[in-house]
Amino acid sequence: MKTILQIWRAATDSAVETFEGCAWVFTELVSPYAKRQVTFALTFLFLSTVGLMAVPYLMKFVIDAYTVGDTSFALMILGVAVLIGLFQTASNSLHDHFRERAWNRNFYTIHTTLVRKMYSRTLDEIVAEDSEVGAEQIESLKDKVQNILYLFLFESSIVMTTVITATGFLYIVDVRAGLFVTLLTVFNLLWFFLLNTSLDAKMDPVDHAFRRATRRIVEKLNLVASVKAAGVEEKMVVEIGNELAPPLQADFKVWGVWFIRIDSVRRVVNMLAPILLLMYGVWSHTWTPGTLAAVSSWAFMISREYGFIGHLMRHLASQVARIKATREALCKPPAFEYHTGITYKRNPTCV
Amino acid sequence: MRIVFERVSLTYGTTPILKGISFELSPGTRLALVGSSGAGKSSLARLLMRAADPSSGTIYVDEVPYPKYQLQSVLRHIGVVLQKTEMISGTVRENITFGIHLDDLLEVTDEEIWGVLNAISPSFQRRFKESGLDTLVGKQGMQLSGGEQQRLCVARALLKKPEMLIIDEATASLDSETEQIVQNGIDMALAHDISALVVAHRFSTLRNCNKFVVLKRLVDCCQDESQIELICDSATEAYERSLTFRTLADLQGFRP
Repeated sequence: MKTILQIWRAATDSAVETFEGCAWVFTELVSPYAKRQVTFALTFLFLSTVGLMAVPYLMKFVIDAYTVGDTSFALMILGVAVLIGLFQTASNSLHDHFRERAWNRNFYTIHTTLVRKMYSRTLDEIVAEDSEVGAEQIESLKDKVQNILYLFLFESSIVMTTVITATGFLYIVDVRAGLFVTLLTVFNLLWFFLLNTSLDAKMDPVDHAFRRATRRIVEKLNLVASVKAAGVEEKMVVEIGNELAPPLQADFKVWGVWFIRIDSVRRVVNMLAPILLLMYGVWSHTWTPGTLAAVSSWAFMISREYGFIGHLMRHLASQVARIKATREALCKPPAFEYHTGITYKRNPTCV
Repeated sequence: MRIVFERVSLTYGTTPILKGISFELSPGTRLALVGSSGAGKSSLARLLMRAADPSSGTIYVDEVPYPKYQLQSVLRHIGVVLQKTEMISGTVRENITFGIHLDDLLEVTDEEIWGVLNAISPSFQRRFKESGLDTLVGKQGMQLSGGEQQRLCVARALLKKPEMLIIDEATASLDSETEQIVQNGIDMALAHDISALVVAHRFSTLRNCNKFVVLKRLVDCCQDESQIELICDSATEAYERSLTFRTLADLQGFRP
C-alpha cells in the first residue's frame, strides 16, 4: 500500500512538472502567430478525424440496408461516404498545411526567443563553468523544445482526436459501449501514469550509462589522428563495442524483459476489451449487424492507440525533465538588468 | 570616457577575486595592469565589460555609476581584444564587422575596413588579394594563421572607433615572431589618442603604456589592505618600486 502511495505521489509530481514544462513552452516560446495556426490545424484535424470515424458509422447503415436487400439505400449511403471521404481528405490537407505553418514559425521563434533569453543574462552567467544558460545548453534546450512540440503537433494530437471522436461515435450508437470504452481509456491512462514513473526510475541509470558511454566514444573518435598514426583502428572498434555493451544489456533487461512482463497485463486487457464489448452486443440482441461492424472498427482502432498514448506520455515527461534545469535557470531574473538606463554619449573630443 | 574604480571588490560565491581596487583611467591614458597569474587582472577587465558587477565599491563612467547606463550604449564605444580569437566561418568582411552594431553597419565602407586592415598590417592587402574582403576564413578562421586571426581581432576592435580599448593578454598564446607582428598592430592602435586597459602577461605589450597598476595576489594582502601594490606613470618607476613588477620583469628578462 505504501509503495503504491509512493508511486502515486511520484507520478503526480512528474505530471505537475510535465504540465509546468509544457505550459512554459507554450506561453514563453511559441509565437502568437503559431498559436493561431495550431488552433486552425487542430480544428481541421478534428474535422478530418470526425470524417474518418464517420465512415464506420455510415457502413453501419450500408450493412443494415444491404442485409435487408435495400440496395439503392446502401448505394446512396456509399455515395455520402465518398463525399465525406473527400471532405476528410481536404480537412486533413488543411490540417497538414496549418500545422506546417505553425511548425515553421515556431522553429524561427524558438531559436530567436531562446537566443534573446541567453543574451539577457550577464557574460559571467553565460560562460560560468556550471552555466545552465550557455550556448550548448540553449542549443540542447531548443532541440528538446522542438521534440516536445513535435509530440504535440504531429503525434499526440492525432492520437487524442482519434480516441475522442471514436469514443464519441460509440456513445452515439450505444451509451453503454461509449461508457465501457471511456473506462478502458481511464484504465490505460492510469496505467501509464503509474508505470511511466517506475519506468523512468529504472531507465535513469541506463540513460546515464548510455550518455557516459557516448561521451567516451566521441572522445575516442576525436582522437582520430592518434588512432590512425598508431594503426589501432580495429582496437578502437572493439573498445567502442565494449563501451556500449553494459548499457545495452541493462536497456534490454528493462525493455526486453521487465516492461514486456508488466505491460502484457494491459495488452491482454486491451485485446479482450473490444471482444467483450462485441460479446455484449451479440448477447443483448440490441445491435444490428451494421452496429456490430461499426463498433468493432472503433473499439479495435481505439485499443490500438493506447500503447501510443503511453509512449507519448513517457516521452513528453522525459523531454520536459531534460529541459528543467535550463528552464528554471532562464526563469530566474538575470544578475542585473542592463537594457535600461542612461544612454552613454560619446565624448566629442575623442578621436 | 573617464573610468574610475572606487574601492571595488569582487567575490564569486565565497571566493574573493578582487579587493579594494581604486584607480582612475582618464581619456588618452594607456593603463597597464600588471600582476602575477591569478591576481585578478582579467576579472578586473571583465568588470569593465560588465560581465559582472562588483560585490562592493563602484565603477564610475564619466562620473556616473556604471550600472546607471544602458550597457550597450557604453560597450558600443569600447573595443575588446582577447587572448582567444573568436572567428566565424564566413568572409573577412563578416568577421571584421562582427562587433559593429546593426545601426552602424551600413555606414561601414570597404575603404574604411581596408584603412584599418592596412594600418594594422600592410600584408593583409597581399593576403586577401584574390577575393578581397570576400575571402573565406574557414571554420573558426582555420584558413588564417594565429597571428592573422589576432590581427583581424585587433582590426575588428578598432573598426568600432572606440574611445577605449581593452586588451586582455592578446599575444599570450602566440610565438615570439607572431607576437611581434600582432604587437606592432596593437602599437599602431594605441598610437592614436585612445585610452586603453592592457592586461599584461608579456611585458613586451607594455611599451606604449603611460600608467601602470600593479596588483598583488589576494593571498599576499593583509586583512584590510588594498590589492593594488603600486600606481605609477612609468615602467622604470614600477620596476624600482614594485617587488611584484620587478620579479615578473626579471623572469621575462624585461628591463625598462
